Amino acid sequence: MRADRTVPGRPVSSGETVAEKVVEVIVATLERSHHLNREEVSQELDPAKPALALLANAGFLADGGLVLVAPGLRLEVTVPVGEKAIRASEDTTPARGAADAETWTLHLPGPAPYTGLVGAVAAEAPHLTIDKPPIEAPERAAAAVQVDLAGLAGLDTSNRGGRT
Amino acid sequence: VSTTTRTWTTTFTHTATHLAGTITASLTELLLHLGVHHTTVTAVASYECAFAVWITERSLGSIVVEIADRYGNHRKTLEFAVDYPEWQSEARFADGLPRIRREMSKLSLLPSGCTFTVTARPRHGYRLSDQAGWGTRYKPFAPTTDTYNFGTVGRGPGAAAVLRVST
Repeated sequence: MRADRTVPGRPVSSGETVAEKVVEVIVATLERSHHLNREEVSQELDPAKPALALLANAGFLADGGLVLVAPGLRLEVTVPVGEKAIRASEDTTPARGAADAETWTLHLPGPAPYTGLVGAVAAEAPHLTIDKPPIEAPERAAAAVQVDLAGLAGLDTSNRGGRT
Repeated sequence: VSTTTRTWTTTFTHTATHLAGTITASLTELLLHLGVHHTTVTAVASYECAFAVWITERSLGSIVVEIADRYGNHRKTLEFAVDYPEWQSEARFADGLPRIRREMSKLSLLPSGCTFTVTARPRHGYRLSDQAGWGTRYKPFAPTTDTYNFGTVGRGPGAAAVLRVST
């Protein structure tokens, strides 16, 4: 599933406010998964807030550079600035699609001259990277099911009710 | 057919938010481009709130950033001067970041180990309100010689900021 969320930047919101909202969207999206813990995700993202604020003010989050990727979900968070921010509608609702996610990756843009700054933030967090995000969401792992192969071999195809 | 109408009322607070954001973005990029280490540059994000408050109060005259090498020798001064023209509600929010980036690319890298000091100067006849993390400066500014105008950093209804770089 692909999803997009928008947090208008300056002049609507300061970089600091934008960073808070962006992190909350990501945390709220990931906490829908029963495998992920809200506090653990928050703790990992909190140190990235200054970098997110600086990138937002510089306009580097305006064109899809910030992407959360989890099995079944590709969430792009956009922060328009200037006149585009005024015309944009804020949408910070948690995204669906990551309900079964056991892992996740937040792709941050690291353009020059921010490469070192953002790269250092990403290096301290196991789920953050400045690598380019994939174009599509990775597929969810197939549901683990058990099949009675012996029974399947002798299955009477006229019986649509299955084994009991 | 349903239609949705959005209305937007521009206030001077929006202008202050916009200018504080463009000043911090420009300052961050200049420091990083000049080779100031990113671990110290990250602190620039924390200045934005104070800048916005002072612009909202119309008390901020300029932000002066002095860069010194590891021996304390002055290397460069960046000055973001804020002007407060008459309010025009139809004025648009714009930034000059593309031009600042072009001009910035002409600056040569400073030696490693440089540090920077940020000072807010009030407009004539105004006083800057107290803000957390900011104190009073008594030290005189380092003398500068060559000054180059980088142009407008940002503008909005009722205020604009320009950047000057001196050595």
